[in-house]
Formats: sequence, C-alpha cells, structure tokens
Amino acid sequence: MTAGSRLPRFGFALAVIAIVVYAVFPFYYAVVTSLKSGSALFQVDYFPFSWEWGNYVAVFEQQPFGRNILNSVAVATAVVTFSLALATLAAFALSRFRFRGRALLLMTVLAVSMFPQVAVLSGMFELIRSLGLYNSLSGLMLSYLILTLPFTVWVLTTFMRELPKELEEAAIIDGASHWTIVTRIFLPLLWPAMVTTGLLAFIQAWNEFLFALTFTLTNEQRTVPVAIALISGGSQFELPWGNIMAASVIVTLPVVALVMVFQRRIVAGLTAGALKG
Amino acid sequence: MAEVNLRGVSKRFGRVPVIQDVDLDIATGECCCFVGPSGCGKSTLLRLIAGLEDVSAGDIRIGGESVVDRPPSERGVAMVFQSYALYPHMTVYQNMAFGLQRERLRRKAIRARVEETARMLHIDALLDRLPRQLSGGQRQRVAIGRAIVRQPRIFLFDEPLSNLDAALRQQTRVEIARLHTQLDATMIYVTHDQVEAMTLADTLVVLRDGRVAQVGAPLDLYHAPANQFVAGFIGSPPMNFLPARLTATGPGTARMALPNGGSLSADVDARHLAPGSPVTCGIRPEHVELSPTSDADLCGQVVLRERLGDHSLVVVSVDDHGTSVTAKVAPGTEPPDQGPVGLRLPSTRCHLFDAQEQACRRSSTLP
Repeated sequence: MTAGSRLPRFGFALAVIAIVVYAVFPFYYAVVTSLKSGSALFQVDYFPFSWEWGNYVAVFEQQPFGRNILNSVAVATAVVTFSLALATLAAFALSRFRFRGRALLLMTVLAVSMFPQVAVLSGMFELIRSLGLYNSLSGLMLSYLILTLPFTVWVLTTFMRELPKELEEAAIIDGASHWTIVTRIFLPLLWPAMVTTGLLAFIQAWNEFLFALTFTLTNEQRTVPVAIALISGGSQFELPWGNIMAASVIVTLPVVALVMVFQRRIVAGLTAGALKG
Repeated sequence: MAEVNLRGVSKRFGRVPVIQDVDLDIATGECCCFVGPSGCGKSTLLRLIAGLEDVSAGDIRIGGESVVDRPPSERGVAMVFQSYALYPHMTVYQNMAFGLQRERLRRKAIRARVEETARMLHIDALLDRLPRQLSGGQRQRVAIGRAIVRQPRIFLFDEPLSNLDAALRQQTRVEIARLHTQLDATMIYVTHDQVEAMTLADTLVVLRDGRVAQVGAPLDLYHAPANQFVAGFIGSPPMNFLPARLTATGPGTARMALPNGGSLSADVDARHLAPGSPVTCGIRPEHVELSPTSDADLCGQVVLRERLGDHSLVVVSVDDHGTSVTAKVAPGTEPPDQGPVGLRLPSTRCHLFDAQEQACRRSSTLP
C-alpha cells in the first residue's frame, strides 16, 4: 500500500469512529450510569466498575413499568399496522388513478406534517375527548396516525409510482381485481419500502411524548416515554438517575433489536427487487 | 378463437385524437399486424381491443359480441407486453398460473395446463425459477406462455421482440409463426419492424396519425400501395420518389415530365388527372436498373455505394436539388465511384401518386 492511499483511508476510519462515538456514546453512558447506585451516580466514570442491577429491579417495582412497556408495544404496533394499511390503499389510489384534485390531496397530506405538534394539541385534545378516548390507548393510536400517515403515504406513493404500469396491466388482463393487484402484485414488491416506513413509524410512535403526556391521566395508561419522564424520587429535590437510565436502556433495546433484524431485510429486499422484466 | 370487428373506433386523450374512425375486420385464425411509425396509434389501437383503454366512440366486437363495456378479463384476450411484464416475485409457474387462479380453476387442472404449455415452449425446466434468473429469450417465452396457458380467443402482442437481440428476434419470430399455425389462433401483433410484419402477417394494417392508411395482404401492399405513405413505409430500402408533371394520359399509361427535362412513362391509369398537374413518380430500389447513359431514362452522379454482400445499394444524385435515386443491384455490377451513370425506370414498375398522395391504379399486375 502506498502512502498516497493510506491517508484517505485513515481519514475515513477517523470519520467513522467519530460518527459512531457521537451516536453511541450517550447510550453507552446511560448503560454505565444505570449500573451505578447511590453517590456513585454523580461520579464521572467511563467504564462500569460496579455491576448493580438494583436500578433495573426498582424500575419495575416502583411503578407499573411492565404495563407501560406493553402499552407502548400495543400502541406502536397498532399505529404501524393502521398506517401501513391505510397508506398502501391511499398510495394505490394516489399513484395509479388520475382524478381531480389528486395533486392537491397529496400536498394536503404533506401539509399535515408541517404543523408543529403543539399547534394541533388542543384541537386533538377536543377530538379525543369528544370521541370518549381520553386516557385510553386507542386515543393515542388515533392521534399518532396524524404523525405517521403523511410520511408513509408519501413514501409508498413514490415507490408505487415506480412500479411499471405494464405489471398492473398484465394483472388486469389476467383478471385480477384492484384488491388482488394490491395484495398479490404490489405488496410483495413494496416490501422493502413497507419495512422501512413501518420501522420509522414504529420508532416515532414508540418515542412520542407530547400526545402521550396530554391524552393520558393514569399510570396504567401511560407509554414508556411519559412513564420515564414522570419517574420521581423520594423527595422533589431528588431525581433517581439510576432508575431513569435503567428504564431508558430497557426501552431502547427493542428498537435496536428491530432495526438490526429488519436492516438485513431492507437490504435483501432492495437487491431482490429486480423490477425490470 | 374468434373474429374481431372494429366499427368507427375513435380514441381521444383529452382533446388530442389518437385513433380516428377505424374500421377493421380480422377473421378467425388470422394473424393481423399493425405497423406504422412511432406515434401512429398502433399500440393504442391494441390497448383499445384489449380493454386497457376505453373507446371514445365506435364499437369493438369479439366473436360477434360487443365488448366495449366489458373489462379486459371478460374479453377473452391475452397480451404479451414489450417489457414482458412478468411478476418479478413469482416463479415461472406462478406467473403462468396467476391468470388461471383468477378463473378459479382447480389446482390439478391448473398444473396440467401450465405444464403442457411449458413443454410446448420448452420452458418446463424453468418452472421454479424467478424471472430475474432467466435470460431475455427465456423471459419472452414465459410471457408468451402466460398468454397461451389461458387459452384466449385473441392473442395480443405489443412489440414483443423489440427487447431481443437480432439473432434471438429472428428465432422467436419463427417460433411465433409456428405457434400461430399450431394453435390456429387469432393474433393481433403490433410492431414497427417491417420484416416481422411482412413475414408474420396474413393481413397488414398500416396506420398513420391514428387512421388506417391501408389494409391488405403484405404482398398486395408491397405491389399496390394505395398511397405514397404506404409506398414509402413498406419495403426496405424505401421507395424512391421523383417529383414530376403529368403530360399525357391514356388507357393504362401515363407520361410525365421530370424537372431536369427528361420524361418518363408509367403503366398506370391517370385519366382522372388533368394533364399538367403535379404528380410524384415512385419506384422501388430493387426495380431500378443501371444502364449506359445513352440508353437511360435518367442520368446522374453516383454519390454512395453500399456493398452488403448479397446485394449492393447505389445512391445516384439526379438533379441539383438533392433528389437522389437508390438502386439495388447485384454485387459486382456497381458503377465506378463518383462517375456518371444512367438509370432505367421500367414503366411496368413505376407507381404514380397525385398531389393528394393517392396512388393511381396500376394497369399491370406484376407479381
């Protein structure tokens, strides 16, 4: 290897390390902190010298944290399912049919995602209350769709537009209904796009805080971001950092696992596309 | 198998007319080719018959029944697309079975039919493969198989060979011709390739700007084109056209003057045209003969010689306005480069077109 090619490689490696440290270090520090207790919490350590799992136990003992996790799983799963189902059908219509106001509709869908969450909060609150969904998980599922749908609809519309028209026409001649075309022809081909958007929708629903805080009242109905934020210590002057960090680590792991699992599928799906006949 | 009848079929996209008032009859078991330059509406006409587009006006009948209100699946048509349009995530078997499953046939019956069709097309070893694991020619066979397996009344082909290389195209063309005889099927075939059209078609339909320019057997169109467009479109290299002025007409013969002073006669009936009217004389390169300049209808300078092995093309410039005549001659008989050369245009071989580009009836019916 010549000196000329070594320098760029070194720079590249340095950049990779910098990005990894930037992205992973906060999480690593949370793990380290979650394994400490008492006054050790306030010492800066870069390695876990003590291995105390007490914080992890305490998280589940001092509040219904297991219930909170189940809530989050239920809400996020439902949101992903609903938004993918709705977005697939919407994308089919928006990408495959010409109708009056199609462009306007697409822009409106996009515009929905431009409003800051706070701006829709009060209106959404009224809606949730009038539907009788206050302090229930279905209220959260409904309100999260406003966050995930614009994105999923746009991405799937773009992907579906890319599918060759002749594929659809071949299916029409073969006697397939619209429903069959969507489910048997388009869905398998959109799989990579569905996984990607579904994953992002899941993460969004999993991490959402403002709606979850506003639309729930009791500990039993809370999702994990709110539950973590509301973890309190013995007095109002004490923040139980150990518990908070332990809880954060617990709720991060499923997302990491999901990304790891599906990342392979995303790559595999993209290369298996081979849409060109 | 069924006949297809088109009556006054028109199609507009918005305000743009794409197909205008097309009448056409395709008999049972016939192979009908739509040809024409790109944008002439040949694919649109096919899609109208398939039902992928709705007609703006007119009636389409398949087997005697009007099908304009029926979806494609109820018209009894199968289509082979230019890009094959195989379902990329399904195996060859699933691709071929997809249409049969929509008809709710029993699984056993589907398997039997798919396997029989696959054997006929020699793709029975490929049934478990995905389209991306196949070569272009194999994909083409699968696409044809997917159409055959449904046993349609009409086969529709939309430029099916244009994605294949020359050798494979030749081979597949022969195969399609064989299938046509074997299945005794009614076929409608869209192409811009003359060779495909001439060799496959029982009936050739030349389209121009959404209208039928001429319908007939391939050789009839070659020998007796109805207008200048068809004359120039059928045949390769294309027919030579010389501007001229009519000087005298008689029964079965016409004389005309060429701009450079020469005169020419053609065995056509042009008595409906007034002497002196502008006409165009047409003659195919294969009918132009080289001759000594003393004995020639037309003299000019050789500007280009193309030796193609079994024949040669000689391009002769005949006036100062850029008019040139191409002659197709036997190899070895080409005149020297850049030299003067004489051309003989036999009157029995000349076509005559009036100012509206319509052909005058030829009096001799040479093969």
